[in-house]
Amino acid sequence: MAGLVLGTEALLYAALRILRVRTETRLAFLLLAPAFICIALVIIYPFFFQVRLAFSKLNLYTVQNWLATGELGWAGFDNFVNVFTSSPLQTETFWSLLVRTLLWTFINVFFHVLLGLGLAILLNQSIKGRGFYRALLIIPWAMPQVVAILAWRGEFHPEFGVINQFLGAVGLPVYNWWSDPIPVFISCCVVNIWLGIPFMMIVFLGGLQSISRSYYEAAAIDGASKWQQFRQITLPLLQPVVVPSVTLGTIWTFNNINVIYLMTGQDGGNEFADILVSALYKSAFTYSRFNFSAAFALVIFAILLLMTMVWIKISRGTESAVR
Amino acid sequence: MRGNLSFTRKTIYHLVLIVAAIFSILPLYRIITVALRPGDKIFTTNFEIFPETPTLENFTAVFSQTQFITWLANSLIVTILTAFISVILSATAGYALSRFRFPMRSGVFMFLMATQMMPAVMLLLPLYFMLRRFGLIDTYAGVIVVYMMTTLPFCIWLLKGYFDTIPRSLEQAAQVDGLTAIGAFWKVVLPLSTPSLAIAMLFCVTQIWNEYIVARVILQTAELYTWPLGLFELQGDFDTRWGMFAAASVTVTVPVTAAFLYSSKWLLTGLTVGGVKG
Repeated sequence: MAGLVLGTEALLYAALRILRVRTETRLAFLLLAPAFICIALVIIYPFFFQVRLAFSKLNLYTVQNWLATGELGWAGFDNFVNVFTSSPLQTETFWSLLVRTLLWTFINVFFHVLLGLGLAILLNQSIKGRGFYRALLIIPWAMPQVVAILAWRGEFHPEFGVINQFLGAVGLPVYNWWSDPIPVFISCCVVNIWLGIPFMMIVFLGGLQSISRSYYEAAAIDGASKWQQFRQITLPLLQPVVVPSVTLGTIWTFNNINVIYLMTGQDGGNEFADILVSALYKSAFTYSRFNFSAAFALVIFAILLLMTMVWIKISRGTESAVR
Repeated sequence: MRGNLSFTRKTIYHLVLIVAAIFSILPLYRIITVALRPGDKIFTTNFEIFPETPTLENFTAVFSQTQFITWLANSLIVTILTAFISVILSATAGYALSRFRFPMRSGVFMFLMATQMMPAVMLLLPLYFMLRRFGLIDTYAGVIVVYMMTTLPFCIWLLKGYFDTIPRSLEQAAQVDGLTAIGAFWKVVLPLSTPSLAIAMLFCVTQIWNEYIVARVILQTAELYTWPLGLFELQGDFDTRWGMFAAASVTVTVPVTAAFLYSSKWLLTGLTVGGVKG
């Protein structure tokens, strides 16, 4: 790797000298080169290779042949047709996964924002032990995610987990959180909401603390109620913080695979909570459908791209409306 | 919002915060108590706040009967190497993006932002086959290459944002004093950027230290496992190793969580400096 980088640097330097590029531009390109050679190797080339794989016949049976001869085969658009007509997993279809992904993203981001904002407002009050509460409340973020998810999986155990013990103790119905379709999905949502609240809480707390107290004092003198102050002062002034954090939260949740994969028991588990990206991972590495997964990945990529473009359009619209 | 609150209001706030705090520490509390419990009392269905007969036998078991120390060392090697390579490469690239006007500059920046949208899983399949072709499956180099896909664009973006806040006049002064452009970067800008370099490195560490999904595909022999892979081996389905799983979890969780809580103040402000000015 280092040799490759140095060699390219030397070549690039020579080429830029010969082309008589300005010294400053030359320096810029030389400084950028090492990072961008790496990015080309780990992002750009794999992307084009993915496109090629999506049109190939590479599967579990032809992979040895590919390793020996480099022959990938040509399958035309068959793989793309399969994405929409056959199941990436055992029974779930592309459309049911898509609906569940949207539901999953909406539920999670909604509760992240709601609970994060609520706790941030509480932590912004003048009460004793704020620092202590704050430290305890960011533990879900500070803890290694794998440990937290596996520990929660234990708590959702139908027999020994604290959830069912608690539900039983207060006389509520108990569920099989490990294997019934809807409880599995709910348990994944609960764990992911739990993981994501601290991020929103900290970001919103920073936003709240930057709002000057004089606004509230002036509003109080004018006789505004707490609710009116919240609606007219807190929410509008918090907007610059809310928009980017909700965007980030949406992307992270849409792409989240850890929670679902670990909660539903990895390879041998069920598919009641799978969303698009976790189904992609399973179809590629559990079921070894290589060409199919490449096409599937491109379809998900197109969905992400579409979402981003819509978002850019909306955020430009609000930006110009504010100014 | 800092006015005098009535007594009932305060009590309600405290109650809500206490309930939320109990929820947020529940898994941490659980693994600590399970780890301290003797083997025959792991599956208790009564609530006990703290085990009556605490013991360290689960900790000795996890270190003597499993490869947990090897797994921790593997994680450490992979994490430190990725963090160092990413930060070195992004410092130079971030500086170039921040300071120089050159063709396609905004295009490069847009591209970096766009890669942030993509999860590693998206390109894992082609990367897996590339690594297989080059014989890098089941090696440290293989995982490091894939991890760079996430860390590199983010670190470039973060450091570019920080370099933007350093006034150009500092380098111009250094160049008047006889330093070259590279010298000004090396002797003036980099030393000033240590806090943000540390944040970039910390970001890489937090991303990679816990990584499970990618490592699972690329690392296949138990000797090369990073700790999240090893931990899942220990978990099983509530068998006798549940105590060892808990002890291993406590070992990796307590130092990391303590470090995060300790550094959270400046870590979070650092992230917003790069973010807002980006």
